[in-house]
Amino acid sequence: MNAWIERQRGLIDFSVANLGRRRGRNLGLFLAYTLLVFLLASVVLYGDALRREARLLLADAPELVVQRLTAGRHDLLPAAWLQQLQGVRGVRAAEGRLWGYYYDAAVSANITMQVQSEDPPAPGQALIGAALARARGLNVGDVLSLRAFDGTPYAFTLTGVLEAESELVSADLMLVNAADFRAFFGIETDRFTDIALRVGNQNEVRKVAEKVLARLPGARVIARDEMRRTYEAAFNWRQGVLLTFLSTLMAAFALLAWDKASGLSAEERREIGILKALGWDTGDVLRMKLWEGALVSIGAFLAGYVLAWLHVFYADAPLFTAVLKGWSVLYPQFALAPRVDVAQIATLFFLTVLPFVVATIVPVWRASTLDPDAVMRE
Amino acid sequence: MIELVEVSKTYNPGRENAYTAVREVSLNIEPGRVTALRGPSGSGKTTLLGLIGGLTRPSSGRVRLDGRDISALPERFLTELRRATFGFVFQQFQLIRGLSVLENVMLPAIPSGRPHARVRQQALQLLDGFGLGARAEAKAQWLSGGEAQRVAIARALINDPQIILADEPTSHLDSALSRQILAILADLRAQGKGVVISSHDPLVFEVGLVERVIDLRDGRLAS
Amino acid sequence: MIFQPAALALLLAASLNALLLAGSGVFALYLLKHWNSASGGERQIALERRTYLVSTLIGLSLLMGLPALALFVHNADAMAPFFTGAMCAVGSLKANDWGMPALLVMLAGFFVSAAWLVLNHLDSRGWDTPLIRAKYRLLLLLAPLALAQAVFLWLYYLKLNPEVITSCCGSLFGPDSGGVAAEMAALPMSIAMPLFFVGWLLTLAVGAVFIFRARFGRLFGVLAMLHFPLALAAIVAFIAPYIYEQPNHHCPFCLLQAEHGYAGWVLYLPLFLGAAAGIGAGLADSVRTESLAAAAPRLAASLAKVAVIALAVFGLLVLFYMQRSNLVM
Repeated sequence: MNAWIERQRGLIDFSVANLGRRRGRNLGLFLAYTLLVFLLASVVLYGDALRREARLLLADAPELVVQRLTAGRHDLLPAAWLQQLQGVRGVRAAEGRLWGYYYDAAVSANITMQVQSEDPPAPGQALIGAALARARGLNVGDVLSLRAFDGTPYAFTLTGVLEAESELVSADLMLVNAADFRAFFGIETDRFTDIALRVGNQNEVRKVAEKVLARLPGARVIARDEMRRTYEAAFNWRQGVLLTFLSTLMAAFALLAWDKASGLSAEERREIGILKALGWDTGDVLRMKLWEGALVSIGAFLAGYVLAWLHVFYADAPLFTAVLKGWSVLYPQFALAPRVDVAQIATLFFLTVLPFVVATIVPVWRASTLDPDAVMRE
Repeated sequence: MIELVEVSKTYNPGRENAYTAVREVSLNIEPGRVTALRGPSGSGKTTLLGLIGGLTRPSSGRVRLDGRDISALPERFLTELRRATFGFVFQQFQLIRGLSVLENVMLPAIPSGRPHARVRQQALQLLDGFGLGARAEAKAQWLSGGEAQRVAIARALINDPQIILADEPTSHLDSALSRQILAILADLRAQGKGVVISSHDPLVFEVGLVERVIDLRDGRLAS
Repeated sequence: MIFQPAALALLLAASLNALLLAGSGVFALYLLKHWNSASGGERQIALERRTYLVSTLIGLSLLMGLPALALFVHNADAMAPFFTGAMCAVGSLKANDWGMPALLVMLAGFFVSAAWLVLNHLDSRGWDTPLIRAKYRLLLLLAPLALAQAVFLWLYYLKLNPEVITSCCGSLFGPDSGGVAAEMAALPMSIAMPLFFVGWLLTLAVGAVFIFRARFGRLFGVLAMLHFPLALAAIVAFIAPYIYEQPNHHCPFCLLQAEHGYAGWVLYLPLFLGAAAGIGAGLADSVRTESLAAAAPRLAASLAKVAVIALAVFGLLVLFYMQRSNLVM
């Protein structure tokens, strides 16, 4: 056992010296390797972080959301439904919600206006997202004037700006109280946008949904689990598309690694010949070469992973801003929280290191089977 | 004791560039003596040296080491035997550039798995013995020809082999340096090691080192 | 559904593995036909050189096999919310016909490649390569396993359909659902518990005898092999309920989840290690070749040590979890 460890140590020492001696030659491969890990890790870290946020977001969401359909379209529903739903067995709480969109021509953007039911803003006051504040050049205390449903101007005094850093998509959010919302959009007091249902027993969600539909034939019921599944599918799909696209890069990299490993310089061939003549077995040379590959892989993997980490969690993934818009199925808000996940690292390892190892293993083996007397025959 | 029985070596057999370097050679090499393979270039000296040292596999015939047939031994075991029995000094020194003198000397010991510290100490002792103690950390490519040849001999001795095989050990050195190297080989003989030299340098045969000469011509024994 | 990073990683790994092992399998056929250890000829040397490549490939395959197995199960667990009715890995694996076969083939592949590496290790220590034929015959079994694994994984991920309503672990490991799993679950604790602990102690005892007296090595190998299904049955029958603190929850997969302290990973790692090392010890001990007269017993003894320690740890962990549990039977 000790001899084994000493031998590996000797081989590692030699591999390190080798890599040091051929810095220039290995640098290109190392950079390409790091870049590949960086891109793949960015996709996986970013997608997983979004997925996790969605999960957390939905964890707080009501188990069921009830909407009213009129002619197959989402419509305001009567407050009377609230009482009816509260009577359904299994429903712990029912709350009417108000939200909608406002097209702001001044900045050509949609504002999501929402009623904050807990601790609502005072009449005539509002909180807005940071992006909206910036676009409109507004600060706390300023007045934001918007056109109400009947064309008359409606003024909101800003009492706060929602933190941009923590809430990536709260950028276009505007929080007001219920009375202002109704007056602004012209919605009667006995109407709601939809109703959030809390169900006591998780196992009864399906049953409760069936009862709701039986009692209110014009309703549409959206289950949280259903939404979660939709989100997950959307994330998986986007992540998968990106990864598939990156797999061409992966193939190119494997080809590069293969080429590097099989195109030994005369100098390297001579050195392997010397080692074999000096009493290194094919297995020793093979192990030495595999250590070399392992050291490069570990270095590139760590470097790429750390860079991806910084890119996603500290630089807000600038490379993905274009794709980011596509992720906005996830409303209303989330913040990316850094986290390390073993399964994720294993996934990345399989996607990056394995192709490298497989691409180099045959050339490395071929190089190590050089005849031991090759050096003498020069 | 090494025995060669009707050993032949053909390179690239069955192809157009097939070339038989050694033909049906039978001989014994006794341990603890200095044997020289003599012959013009192309006579098969180097190939025969490789066959004796288990570096080259015979195309036909048998090679025995202490009575054991090593011609068909799997590479792993052959290499182990070779490492323990023979130390090679190659024609062009064959040091690895970019590595230090000390690292070069320690190379043959790595597969044996002996403790690093002990091998290092042994290597430094060998270098000291050859007056190279101060050059241990120098890069191999900075050495002069004489220094490089001494490093190569030190490297051949790191695994403490019974027999030193030296391929044309004086071919790249002037007379003074050649004598120095031959003195070292004589010294090894005095320590009880066997030495096999391939050479066509008259100097090698003049200094009274060689105890037995094997003449080669066209891959056959000439005697 | 196939578009998921972990699934893509697993498919890539399985496909590469199948490719490499298929190549090795073809080589195995060639080697079995032409190997002649008495020869030092060109072909023999070429064959010998290629064996270095094959050993490296199988080593790589084993090195990847265990993480791949873990990732597969973990990912199945993580996918559970996709499927209506799924609570853990079981639901995802049962979402179509290929999940369970893929899992079983991966398990088999792990044990066979571990056995192969034991043979390979020994073979390389005998100057006459005495086990080369046995080794390459075993490779002929390993290669189809790798192919099957890749095919099953592709079928599994390609045919996954989130619309499917799958079964929860309760229906597979519930006492009334029929099948082997159900029978294990239905085993009364008063029988299952002593059965497991007697088997466990017997295995450890025979292992100790083998380590200290160099006897009954093969018996130990067989016991270590039998201990594996016994331990799985015990997990379903009583260990899992103890950890969940629910007498009717028998699932061996829910154990892997964070809410149970990752007890599954903690238990399965020594169990797998112990089984693989124990089988390897028995295998090494049954080699009776002159050229391995020293190497085989030495390897068998060190593998047996690893196996006994791992199995002892497994059993002690079981006792620890039972001790800590509030479940009263």
